[in-house]
Amino acid sequence: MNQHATKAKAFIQDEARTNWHDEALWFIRAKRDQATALVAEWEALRELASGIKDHVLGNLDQYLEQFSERAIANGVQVHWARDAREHNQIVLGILQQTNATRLVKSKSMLTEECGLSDYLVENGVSVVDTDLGERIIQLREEPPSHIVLPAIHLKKEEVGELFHEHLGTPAGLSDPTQLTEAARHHLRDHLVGCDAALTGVNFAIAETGGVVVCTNEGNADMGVHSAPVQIHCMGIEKIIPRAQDLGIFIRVLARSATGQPSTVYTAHHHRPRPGTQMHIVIVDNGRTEQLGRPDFRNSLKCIRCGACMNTCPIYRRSGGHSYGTTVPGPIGSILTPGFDLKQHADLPFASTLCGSCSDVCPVKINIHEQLYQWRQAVVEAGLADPAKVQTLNLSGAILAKPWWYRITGRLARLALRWAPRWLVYNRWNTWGQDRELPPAPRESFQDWYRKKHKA
Amino acid sequence: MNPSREAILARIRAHKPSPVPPPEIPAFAPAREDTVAWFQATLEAVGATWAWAEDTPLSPEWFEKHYGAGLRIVGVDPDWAITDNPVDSQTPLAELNKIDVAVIPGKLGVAENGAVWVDETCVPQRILPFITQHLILTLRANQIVGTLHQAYQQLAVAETGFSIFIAGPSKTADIEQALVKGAQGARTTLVVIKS
Ligand code: SF4
Repeated sequence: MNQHATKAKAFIQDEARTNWHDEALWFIRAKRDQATALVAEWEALRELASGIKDHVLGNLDQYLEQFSERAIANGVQVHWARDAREHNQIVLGILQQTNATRLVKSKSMLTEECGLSDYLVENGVSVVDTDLGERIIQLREEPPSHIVLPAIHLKKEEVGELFHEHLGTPAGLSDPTQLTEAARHHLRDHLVGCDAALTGVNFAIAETGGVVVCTNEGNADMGVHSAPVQIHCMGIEKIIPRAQDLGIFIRVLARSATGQPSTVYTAHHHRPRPGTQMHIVIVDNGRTEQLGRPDFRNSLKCIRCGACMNTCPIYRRSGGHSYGTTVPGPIGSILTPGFDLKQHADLPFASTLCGSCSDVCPVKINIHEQLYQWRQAVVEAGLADPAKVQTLNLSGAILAKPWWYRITGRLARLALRWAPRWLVYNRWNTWGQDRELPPAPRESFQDWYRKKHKA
Repeated sequence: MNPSREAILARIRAHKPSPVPPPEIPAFAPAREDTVAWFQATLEAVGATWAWAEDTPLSPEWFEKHYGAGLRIVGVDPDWAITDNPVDSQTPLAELNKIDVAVIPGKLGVAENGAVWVDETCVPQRILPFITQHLILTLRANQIVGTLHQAYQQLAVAETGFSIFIAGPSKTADIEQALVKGAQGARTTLVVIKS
């Protein structure tokens, strides 16, 4: 079992840090709100983005065929991978065939999901992540804690220490501008000297066979245009039908992610430079399975903007690492149970079901409803936490009989007022841990309502 | 036949929902009608700068005043003959990595996000707009449109092998959300508008 609650508990031990994390993400959520408020047709754009993705899912086979035909006609080598293993082997194969031993990588959640870097390193390839945040966590040997802001969990002093150790910056240096400058020099050396460059894909255009890659740092372009071999790895769900549709998706992506009107760079790759190679790897890895689940297939519409994380009260106060998955937060909690329900059975419960994620999602995924539906799947599969099941069964029995409910309510109010502290605040009553229960009212709502209406 | 391709496509066919038609994309009216002023305001908001071509001679003195002395400047806009450091498709990467300022003609500007469209035909090598320390993009005022919808309607994205929207300087906020310009690409972006 994944144990989100246990890891979240460890995370919140440091209260100041928890608040800092919470505020950092809320700051981004607020920027998103400002950016979207400036677009009068915002809701129409979300509706369109969602509608285009619905249309794609129903025609995904044709669009993928069209995409790959066009790409091949453009001189691109197209590969298909059923799972993570095949994906990793394909990438290694490309590198071996071209004698490439130094790979630079820009951000790609798919390659994280596939464990590509570890696999390549085991096979003698040096892999350098070139997005600043990704490089930071690569040097720390830990996974990203957010899909857009991989190092959001770290303080600048920690980055300073890390760079002191690995890049030789002066001890105690923690100024973000100076640290970024040091990373710029360090990464340029790798970018300009690389043998191959790999990127993720934001959108794959079926009608033209091209891929679109959005970044702010310019690292993807620095790598791709330096290297004699460029590789773009994409999940099957990245397809959009036409270049026209980019108008919709580019308009919603960065506004939702960071509150920018668009990322700094929106690159469209269609053909390799003369004398170089361009490869596209199309990956399934569980996505066709998710496509077959009517309740959950909507999750494949995700464009990985991260807005649902920034807004989530649980994510903000438990940190990305507490989820133990490549994609954390609300969307991760509906994607990952599809891979392995047993392993991730607690993730659908890592939510208040407040619905804020669904409200901000630019492709209108019904995230909180799917979390609720996964909960049912978890209980049906007999994987729910036994304590939770017992409590729910008991509550169910009480709520089924009004007189039982009235009696237990009265008893509870009496007990809360008169029982000794140790009886209320103990390890069996999780509601009494870390918080004081509110004073119990003298009468129930029902009593109060009756009295009021008689009067 | 590629067995993985066939397997993936077969699973999609077995699992996909019944198709629905694509939605109609309406013609959204741009939020502002003063397109050029809007473009300029957005450039400032995204950390770029802009100037009118008449105020920007791109002369040695001008470069020295704005970017410093003794710099390696490359110009590939045919309207400005900067011939000091010619760059072509064969210039080695190590040489390109020493460029301080590059002047590159853009093909289209977008007011809503301050982006300038550059494609492969604008540059001798694709890497030029990124590897240069400072970037100057040039554009005619009548090449600026309001929204990305309008832009993609005019553009043929697959016309060249590589094309890009550049909206401001390279930047990052990966260290404690502090915005820093000059991550891996150009440290500054100036857009020169020819009226
Ligand atoms: S589920 Fe929606 S809000 Fe969350 S990352 Fe995906 S697109 Fe963004």
